[in-house]
Amino acid sequence: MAEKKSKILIIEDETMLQNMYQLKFEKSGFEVIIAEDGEAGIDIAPKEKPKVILLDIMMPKLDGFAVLEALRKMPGFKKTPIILMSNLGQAEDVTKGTDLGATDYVVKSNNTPAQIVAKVEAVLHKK
Amino acid sequence: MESVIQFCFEETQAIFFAIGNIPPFILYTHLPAGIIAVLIAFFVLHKGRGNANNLPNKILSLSLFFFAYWVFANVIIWGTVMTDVIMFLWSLQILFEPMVYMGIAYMVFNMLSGHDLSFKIKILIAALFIPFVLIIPTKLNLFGFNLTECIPIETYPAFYSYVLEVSSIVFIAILSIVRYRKESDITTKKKIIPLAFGSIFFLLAFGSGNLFGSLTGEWVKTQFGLLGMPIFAAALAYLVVKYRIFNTRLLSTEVLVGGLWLLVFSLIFVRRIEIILWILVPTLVLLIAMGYLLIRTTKREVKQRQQLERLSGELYEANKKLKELDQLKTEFLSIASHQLRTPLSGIKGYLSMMIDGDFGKFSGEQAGILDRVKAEVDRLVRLVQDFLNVSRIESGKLQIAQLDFNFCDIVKTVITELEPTAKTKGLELTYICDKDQIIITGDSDKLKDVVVNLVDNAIKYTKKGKVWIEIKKFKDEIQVEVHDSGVGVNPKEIGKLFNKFQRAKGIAKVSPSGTGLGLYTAKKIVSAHHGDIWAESKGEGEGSVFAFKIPIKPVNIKG
Repeated sequence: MAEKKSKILIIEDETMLQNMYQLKFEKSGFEVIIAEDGEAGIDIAPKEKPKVILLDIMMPKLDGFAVLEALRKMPGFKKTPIILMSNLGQAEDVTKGTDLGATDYVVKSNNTPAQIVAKVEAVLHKK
Repeated sequence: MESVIQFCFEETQAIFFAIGNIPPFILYTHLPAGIIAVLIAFFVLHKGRGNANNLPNKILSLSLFFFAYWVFANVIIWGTVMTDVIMFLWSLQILFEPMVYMGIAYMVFNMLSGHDLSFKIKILIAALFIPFVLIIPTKLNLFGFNLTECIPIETYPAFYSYVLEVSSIVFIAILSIVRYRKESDITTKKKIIPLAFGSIFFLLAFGSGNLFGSLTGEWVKTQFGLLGMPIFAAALAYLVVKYRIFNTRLLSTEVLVGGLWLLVFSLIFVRRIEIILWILVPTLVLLIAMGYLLIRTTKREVKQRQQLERLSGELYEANKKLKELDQLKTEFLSIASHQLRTPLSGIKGYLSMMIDGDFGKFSGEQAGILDRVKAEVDRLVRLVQDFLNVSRIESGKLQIAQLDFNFCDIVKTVITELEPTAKTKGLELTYICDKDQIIITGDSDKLKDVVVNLVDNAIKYTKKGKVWIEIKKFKDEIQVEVHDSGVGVNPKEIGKLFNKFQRAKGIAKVSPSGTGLGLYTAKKIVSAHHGDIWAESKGEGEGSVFAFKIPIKPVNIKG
């Protein structure tokens, strides 16, 4: 666990999953900010300056890839770890994400919240 | 008498023959016949180019070129008074004439039998012919010149050529009758009639004209024999249009129109009214026949083009629809994937948090139940994954990612996931990794599915004992083996295990659940990584090993 609370921005449109991930990350010592969709995420990110971003792909209006592209263009977010989350798991999504600059890719139904927290912590330690 | 003698020694014009000397009837009978023969010869030769089965094309062309020579030489003979020219051209006529007959007979033989003459027969025919060829330029062929009638004096070789000609006609007749009787296919039978009739009529007409001329000396009147040529052409045209002989689908419009032009043009040469009337009737018949063929051919071409356009349009629409359906399928897969897995993520997530103690401790019994519920949820997740994989495989949309990952980590995750299930059955579940880190390039999620399938099966079909995984690293590949001390497999059934919906016989008693899809998808995923998957078992009750190997760094991964 980090000594100073690391801030994580979770951009996820599914309320049930928002609550679940917020709960788990807070229990694991993170400060959690939730964005309900892509546009909110792009809006909140420069204001809150999170250390790491969890980004859902399938969202209405603006999907995760568009948000990823926009975030990477913002000053200060070129190197921020951004982990894509999805329930699709198709190889072309993984490749597309990597090409756009995603740090990692998780399939939600294949990973428990604890496993996702572990991935985030691993990525932060690599920094 | 005097004028006849004078005619023979009359000074010729600057050119060696003059059209003015030629009776119009000669021109009328010869020019169309010769030109039609040349046109057909070129046409049929052109159509045969590039085709394996073009022997009849070549034979017919050659025969018609000989015939055309005969015709044009005859015109020149009629138009010249130079005796040496007449003798030369006439002697070649005697040579080429039987070759027309033998050529047509050869062509008919080839078309009816479907094969060529044997080499021995060809040698025999050559033997019959070569002495004839040697005699042609000598006095034994044409031993003098009749100044009264202005024609050479023929002897035995000329009559020998008639023997060859008659034999050819008889050969065609007998062959056609025999084949007609033997043939059971109606279409082929129908082809034989016009072919035989057309060939025999042409050759008979041609031959009888010459024979009468040789016997009676009435050379002008006997030129009717050449009218057999247009009849022959009509028979061939019919065969081409109806049966597509000579590899020709459609009779070219140019040939038909050219033929019509010729016939009408040649009427210019006919001046004497009594002959005009006599000639117009067959000309009209031929005009009608050619006109009919022309209209039919054109109509057929138009119909075919319309059909082609229609089919093209239908193909375009069908293709468009297929693309739409394909798109719908892809969208459906995405939606189904997302919609099914979202609630599953929630159930699995909260359960795992409860088990981790995020909401307080549970009693032993409660914890045990939670473990079992989580195991079932994991099973459901895997089922959804299997169905989605199969859908993607069936649509050809299985995509394989190419990323580096530690294979031992994957195995560790699988063990953690399946440990509760194994524990419930009192089974030991362990793994041995050759090294701590085995980094390979591939699709970690899909390969995890493969390992999960194999280990899940091993646990399912083992009543007691243990299940263990061995990961071995070789130079260019890794080999993963899942061993179990379970029910084993009948060696005869091993090959079928990896088929879709296939389960080993009697396995339902051991484990009622199981879709028969797990091994099928595992095989497809391993193949997509350019690997191999197999199973080994000493027999029922002897345990089994399910293993696969994949390259560490594949050159390219197909989906």
